Amino acid sequence: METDGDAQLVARLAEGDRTALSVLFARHHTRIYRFLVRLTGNDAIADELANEVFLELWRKPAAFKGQARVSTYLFAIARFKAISVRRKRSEAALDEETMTELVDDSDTPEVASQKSDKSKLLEDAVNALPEEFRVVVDLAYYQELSMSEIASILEIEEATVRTRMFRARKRLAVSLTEAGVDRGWP
Amino acid sequence: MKEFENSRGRAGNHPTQLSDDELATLLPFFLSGRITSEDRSRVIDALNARPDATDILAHAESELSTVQGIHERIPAPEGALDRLLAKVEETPQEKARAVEITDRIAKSRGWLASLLDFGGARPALAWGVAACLLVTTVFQAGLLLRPDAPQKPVLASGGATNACADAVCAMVRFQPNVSFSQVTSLLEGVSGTIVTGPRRGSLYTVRFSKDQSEVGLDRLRSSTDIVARVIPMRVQSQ
Repeated sequence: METDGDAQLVARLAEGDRTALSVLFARHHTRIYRFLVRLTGNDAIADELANEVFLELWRKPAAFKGQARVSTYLFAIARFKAISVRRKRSEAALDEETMTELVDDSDTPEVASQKSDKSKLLEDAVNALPEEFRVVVDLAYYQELSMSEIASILEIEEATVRTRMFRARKRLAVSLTEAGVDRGWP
Repeated sequence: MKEFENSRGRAGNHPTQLSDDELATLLPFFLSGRITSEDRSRVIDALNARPDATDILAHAESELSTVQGIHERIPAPEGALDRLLAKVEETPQEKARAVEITDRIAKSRGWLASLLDFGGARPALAWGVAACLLVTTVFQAGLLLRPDAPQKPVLASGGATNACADAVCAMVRFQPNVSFSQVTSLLEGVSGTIVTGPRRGSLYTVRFSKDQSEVGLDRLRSSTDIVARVIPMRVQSQ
């Protein structure tokens, strides 16, 4: 995630440098895309939004003030776009396809009981976390962001990041314990 | 795990011992290395003090690998860069838009000049009206060009300060009998732009690019048939 020269590349965008955009894309696109997949739950929407993130950077390079790392800035744009899309989607009525997806996402008790593998249990527990907790876990473990960066992206206090991380890990421990894997605490 | 083992014996003295909950909260950041040096030392101290440190770290590392696995199984979309670059071709940057607007202003100045050049009849009024229109146009363009331009309009009184924040400006009074085309021609020759005015005493604020300022000011001072007075301005950068 440490990307020396990102800010200089953004400065070059202001001069219409498409190569700079390509380099920034190569450095950050996959992580931004995966972040958006996790937020939206939809590959196609995440793909479109990820491109919009970079397009916005291209269109308004001066909006990046250099107060944070470029990656943090991109994650913040991505989150904002995901929220906008979800707001629009939530305003629309659930169609049949969505209902099918929702049903498909739910395991029957029989299937759930077959998931005895610990890593699979942990994965399910992570995915079952409330989004406000899961996004903190994702940003810390996969995106390797600091508390202050996560706070900046999510527009919350650093203390809230701490609280959410604590609660997320607590829930994971409880979920595993309930599934028969006593992992203790912390 | 290696991080912790390598850190054994190097932890400093930190009076505030981490609780179980605090340790659980900080461990993900400890593993990624994205933690303050103070918290890092506290985590190391806490782990050194616990007989179950290995298990605690193993729990966090299993979460780390699980979360990374979830993400890394998401395939990156194909052709995303090509699609982005195609959109870039049809998406003007703010800077590109700025150039277009500047071009439009240049064209409108020519149109204004032809419209308002009365061939000597009431020349001062003619170019004065044009200058006011030009100031308005330039100022509005300035609002459009500013990347952080507020959505609400701002008062023109701040225009000179804003416009001169990164340039050199001068207060200029033109001779009363000059035509608009004379003023326009002179300013174009020195890369100068009227950004505000007229103020009290028929003074206009003229902006120069920094590299042209000295030449521009000298040229204005020497053009006594068009310019009555030149007062260089010092505007504090914002």
